[in-house]
Amino acid sequence: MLLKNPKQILCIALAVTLAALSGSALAMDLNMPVGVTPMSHDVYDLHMYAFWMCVGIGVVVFSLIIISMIWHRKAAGHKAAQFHENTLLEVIWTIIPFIILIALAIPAARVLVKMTNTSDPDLTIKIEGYQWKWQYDYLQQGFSYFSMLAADSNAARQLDSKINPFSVPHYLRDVDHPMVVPTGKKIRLLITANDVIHSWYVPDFAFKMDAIPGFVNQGWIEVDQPGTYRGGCTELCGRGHAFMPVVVVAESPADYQKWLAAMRASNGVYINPHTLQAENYGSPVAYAPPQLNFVTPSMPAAAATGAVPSTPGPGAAAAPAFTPAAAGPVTKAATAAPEKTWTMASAMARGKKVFDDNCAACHMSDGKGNAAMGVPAIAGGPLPNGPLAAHISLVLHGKGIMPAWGNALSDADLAAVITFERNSFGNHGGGLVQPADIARAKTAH
Amino acid sequence: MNTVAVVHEYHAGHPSGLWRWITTTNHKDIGTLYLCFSLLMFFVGGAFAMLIRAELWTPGMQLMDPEFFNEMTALHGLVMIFGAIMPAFVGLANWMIPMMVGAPDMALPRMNNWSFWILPFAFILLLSTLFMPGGAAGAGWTMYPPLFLQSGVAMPFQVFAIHLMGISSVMGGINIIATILNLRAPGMSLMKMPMFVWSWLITAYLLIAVMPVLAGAVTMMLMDKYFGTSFFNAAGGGDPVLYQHVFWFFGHPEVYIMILPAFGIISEIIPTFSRKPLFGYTSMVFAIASIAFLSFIVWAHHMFTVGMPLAADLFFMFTTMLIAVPTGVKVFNWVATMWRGALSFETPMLFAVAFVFLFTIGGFSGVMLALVPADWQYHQTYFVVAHFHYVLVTGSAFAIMGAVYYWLPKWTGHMYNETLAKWHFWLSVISVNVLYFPMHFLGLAGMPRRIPDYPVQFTDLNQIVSVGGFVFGASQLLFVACIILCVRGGKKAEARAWDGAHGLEWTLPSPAPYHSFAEPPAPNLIWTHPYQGS
Amino acid sequence: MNTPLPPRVRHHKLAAGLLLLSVFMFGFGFAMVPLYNALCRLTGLNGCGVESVAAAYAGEVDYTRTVPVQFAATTGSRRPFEFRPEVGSLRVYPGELYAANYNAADRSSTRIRAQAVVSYAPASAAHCVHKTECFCFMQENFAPGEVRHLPVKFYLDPSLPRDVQVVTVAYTYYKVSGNGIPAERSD
Repeated sequence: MLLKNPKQILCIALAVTLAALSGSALAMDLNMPVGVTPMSHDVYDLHMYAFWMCVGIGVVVFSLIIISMIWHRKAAGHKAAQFHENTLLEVIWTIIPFIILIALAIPAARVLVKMTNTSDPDLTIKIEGYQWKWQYDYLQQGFSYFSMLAADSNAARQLDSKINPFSVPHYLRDVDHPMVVPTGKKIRLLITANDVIHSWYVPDFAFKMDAIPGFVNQGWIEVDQPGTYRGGCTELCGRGHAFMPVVVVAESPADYQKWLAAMRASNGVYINPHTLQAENYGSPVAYAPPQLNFVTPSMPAAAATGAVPSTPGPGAAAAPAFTPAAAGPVTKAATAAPEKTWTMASAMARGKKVFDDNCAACHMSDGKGNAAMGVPAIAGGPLPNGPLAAHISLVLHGKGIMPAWGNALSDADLAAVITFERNSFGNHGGGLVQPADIARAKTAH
Repeated sequence: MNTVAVVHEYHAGHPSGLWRWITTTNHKDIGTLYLCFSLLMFFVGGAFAMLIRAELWTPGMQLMDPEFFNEMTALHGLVMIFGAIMPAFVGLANWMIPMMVGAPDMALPRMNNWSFWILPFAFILLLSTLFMPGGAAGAGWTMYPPLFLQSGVAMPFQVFAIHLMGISSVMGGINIIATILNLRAPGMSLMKMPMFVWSWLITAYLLIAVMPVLAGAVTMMLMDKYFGTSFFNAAGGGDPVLYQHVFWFFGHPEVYIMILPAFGIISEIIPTFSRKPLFGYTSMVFAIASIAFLSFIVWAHHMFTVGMPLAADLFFMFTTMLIAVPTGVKVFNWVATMWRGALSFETPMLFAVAFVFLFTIGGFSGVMLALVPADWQYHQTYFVVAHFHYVLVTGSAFAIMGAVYYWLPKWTGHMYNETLAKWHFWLSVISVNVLYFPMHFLGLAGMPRRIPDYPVQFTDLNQIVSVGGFVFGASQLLFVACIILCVRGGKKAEARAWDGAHGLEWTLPSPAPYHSFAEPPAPNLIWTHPYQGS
Repeated sequence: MNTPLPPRVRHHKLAAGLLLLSVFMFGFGFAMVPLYNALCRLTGLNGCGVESVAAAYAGEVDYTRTVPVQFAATTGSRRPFEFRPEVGSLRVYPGELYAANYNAADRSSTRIRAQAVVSYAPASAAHCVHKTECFCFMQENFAPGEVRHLPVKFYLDPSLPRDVQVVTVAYTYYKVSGNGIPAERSD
């Protein structure tokens, strides 16, 4: 009798399908992972709390609909009532959701505040997203390396590769060089991107943060248990979006220290934390400054670096210990530009350098300007051949696409470059501008 | 009025054939054009979805290049939103609003013609990008820079297509507001309007307010790419996240543009088949208005992982959760309308009841997504895909299908084939759940969206999802069959096709004459909701 | 006296008003750019991007605490361009002026123009990092193979919130070319 009506058969089919799906989900453990960070436990609890609240509301609302669908059918002879409003009822069912939402919002806000608290980190790692790989930069340790999809996955994922993905261990979830972190330490992650927006996601950490080119985002993780945790990029980033997994190996602090020591000694070769054996890395990963032969230009301010504050306050003894000798507080005297008077030759020499560094990009090194960009020529232009005050004013304050250089360059450099512009490129504006003239022009405004 | 007279009237003084459809300014013709166009786009977008589900049948890349997969996900979204859902609602508005408010036609009939005829060109432009060198833009329907800026020649064409869609929508919105505000029959005050008209009045304001913002956002991107500006380019002092703010300032109201008319439709269908007046007419109107207002201050909940300050996270979390209150009021009102009614389950009612169930499920996942810490797990995974398909497919699309079955007798003069329609409904409602429900589990297990290939542990659920997708796609052929059969013939429909139906459209004969309400209807024909009756 | 306007006029008036609204909203989309930038400056939302204005040095020092400041460097393109801070971090007194230099080396064979973009973490510290001098204030030219010493002088505002216990100053160096958009890359 029950199964005579096709509608009932379909209803039952629907119910069975949904039940089977839910059952299969539980069997396959496809709920949100509980995870291995304090944060992920909180997030899991919040998720389940919200889920059961929704189930509760759903049971009430759906039962009411089902009851009226069964009892209040016209076919069952039910006559329609004609009520159409009830102020008390409407007020009640506006207020009850409010209360439920407050009950949801309070724990959510509590977890959120905890999540955004990145204070007191033990370690900072900078993560940079590339199309389509990650770079892990251990800021305090001075090394960095790239992390790409493992070679076997990469071979299998090609169109018509004829390789069965099921035969590849950790298909699309394995990388050549995983990120390595110590357990039980608060790790601050700085996340940015090189090209387009990516997003760094590890479900077991309940951590997902967008990597945005030009901007640094921060967050933190603290992994409870040693293990290998896998995730991936979750912001569409082009053709290889699915193929830049995140793999994090969490090791005990002792093992982590061993790995660090090995990495520092390896001179740019990635050390697999599991084997602590060197594998050939291919591209250079060395971060060490000695490779660069930096020529330090003579800079008055730079000369003063390394000085301790003139009036050391409490705790000063501890502070410089963290400060490498190369940098440090600048004494206040050094910030005030020394009085300088240019000679024509020194002004022209300095002015040419300042011009090449700052102005030539738009005005071109020959001073001809760039008509396509709307940049006027310096050579033969009205300002360098006209009154000095207007020339200085324009350089200081800018106009249109011309930037205001008043605060960007020192008075001495400004004086030099204006002198240079008025006496080169065939210009005959003439004059030798002194830093004091610039200072006066600045205060005049 | 007999059939001969109707046919005669159709042709009197009108061009015939294709030219009639190109030059028509009749709201019923334009409504038909919109609806046919949206049905076509529903199948185009659906075909893209079928390709997506076929590639995701099993791990590994079998059918297409990953870049083509990205193009499919992007175009599926754009075509379904701007080509299927929105034009379908505009088509329903064109057909029904003048008849529901007792107007002879839309207020600005020539602009009406323009708003429609822009659309086919917009979509030809959009779909032609598939055949351009480098293919279409594969940056998702959200078109985030810098990725969108990497797409080749397709990019400016896609931007122009979006401009055209925006112009079409804004003109459509202006027309609808002018019709509702200026052309209501004497005696039909605002608070006597059918709920569908109310929902469209508010939706039209949303359209006019936010479509230009989208146009601005994509224009800025165009300028970044071709005119050297740096709105969203970090190197020049811009911020790619700013685009996301501008986009979602459009995008969230856009979500409600696609659901408020659905609320209106459900509020028409449920009272009809419950044979009982809509419960809480006034609170329904206020609920729609407050949802529309809230839609402007919740946008950043689409971007909880971009690294906003704590205060912003909290603000957008709370405002988002607030939306649950007016939405809850609407659901409770529908339940109360059904409660102690005399229910019958013709196909429109089946779709409406399915809407209430399944939209509510989408609402639940919406509340969960609003919780910022949990969103860090859900964001950009299949959980989100499940959420917005529950509100857009079992929400908006089901409401549209219900509306089509509900008003087909009025449009064609024939009853549709109830058996076939019920098959369509049951196949759809079962397959749609097989399709979208397991996506929740996939998302919770950490499967990101917009990926062409996935780790092997997601295989079983993806295959269930794909089966659901193929069956759902195929079931829609029944929908087309129902419509074609109903246009061609069938049982003659009465003026009041449904015994519980109220409203001016049911005072007209079925099919509705080409020109209706040339003279305003007598005030006593206007049905008054009992809340202001006695 | 109170004759209603003919319908055509009423429609056109309403349509014109609504059209104006849509034009206004189009403009509003663009107005969101300065609004957002102002908001960013106010709140430090998402760092500050390109800065071009040097801060004046106030001179008040808070000797009661020290705050570690980390320096990070990113190259926003795949040119052979090396860019890194001279020191990874400094522990500073808020209010005291410090120098922290970066080094950059262009290993390519063409001249480039580059612009550094700065970002701070946490964002709430952004408006507390004041720079009296910075290479990020302007675009720099690099000759092929040129190695450049890039000075930064900064101090932390003594009003830095107490809960900010570490500040990161991160620079990304971009090549400026036309629109500065990273070129399309193949797999």
